[in-house]
Amino acid sequence: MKKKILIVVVVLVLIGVGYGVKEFMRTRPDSKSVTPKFTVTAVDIIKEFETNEAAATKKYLAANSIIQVSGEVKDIKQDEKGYYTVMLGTQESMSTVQCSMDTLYTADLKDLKPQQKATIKGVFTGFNSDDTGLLGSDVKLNLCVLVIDKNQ
Amino acid sequence: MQTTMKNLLVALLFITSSAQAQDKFFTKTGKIYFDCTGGIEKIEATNKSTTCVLDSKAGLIQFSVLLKGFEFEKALMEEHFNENYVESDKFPKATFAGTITNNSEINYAKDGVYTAKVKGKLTMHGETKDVEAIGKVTVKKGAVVAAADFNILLSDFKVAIPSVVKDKINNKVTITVDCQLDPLKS
Repeated sequence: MKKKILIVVVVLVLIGVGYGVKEFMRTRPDSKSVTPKFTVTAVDIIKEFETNEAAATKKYLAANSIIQVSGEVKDIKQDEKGYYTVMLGTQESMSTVQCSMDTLYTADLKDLKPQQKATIKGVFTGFNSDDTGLLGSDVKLNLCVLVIDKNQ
Repeated sequence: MQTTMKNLLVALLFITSSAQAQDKFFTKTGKIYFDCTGGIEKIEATNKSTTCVLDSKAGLIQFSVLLKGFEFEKALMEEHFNENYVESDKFPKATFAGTITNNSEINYAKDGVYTAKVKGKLTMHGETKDVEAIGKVTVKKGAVVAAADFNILLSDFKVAIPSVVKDKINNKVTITVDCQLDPLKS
């Protein structure tokens, strides 16, 4: 009997330690494998934030979710460290959906050009409303990946 | 000969006036790093979507960064950072607005590396504190790189560290700013 209890305790401790180690080592889920919680167009989501920032932030932040945005590529920025940022938006407005791209999938971006249509999914990090009136406001996404449409 | 001189003068005038017209610089993809390692385990994060505007004429500089945009190596750290420490649902943004006190010493029209003394207010976690930093402004081919390192204390911004992790998280946080600014076309 005592032996049985000991075995149960040891197993429980091992499970606990295993869970702890797994939690500790856990990395973020790969955006590519996560189903988006919201699918929107760049124009619509910018409008949603410009109309009611608080409500939109609550909606998209609460889920801590991956959102999928499609729109026109306004600009592609590459910095000296090789980080890519893709801006979705329109030529008329300074406001964008700003997608900081996941460095794991930089190779996917090689054919992407401004003014093309693109669908991108990533983690919503917030809305930066422009109080200078110069830059436009941005919906910011992190760890973004280009959604490659297999039908194309 | 005289006409060449005259032409040169006109050209020079033209260059200086067009250079003067360019007095605002910005980026939406600036980088901010922080490090608050207290023990053996590294605690550092990177944000690659910082918005920054520099008014070179007035010597004003502004930063705005979304805290959820900081990437950590480990997901658990990122979650603790957002949920327990900076409470990014409640306080999504950190902002800095300041002046370059020695702005007259920086020639934004001439390539070079200049020291910039920056003084301003940093708002984070619902608290606003005066911050001073010595930074570096690099002017190169009409673009500007703004870089700085400075320290803040978490306790100044009412970020509470539970006693269990006191030896892992340093109350003194080193913040590194690296923003490549492009001229703002208006």
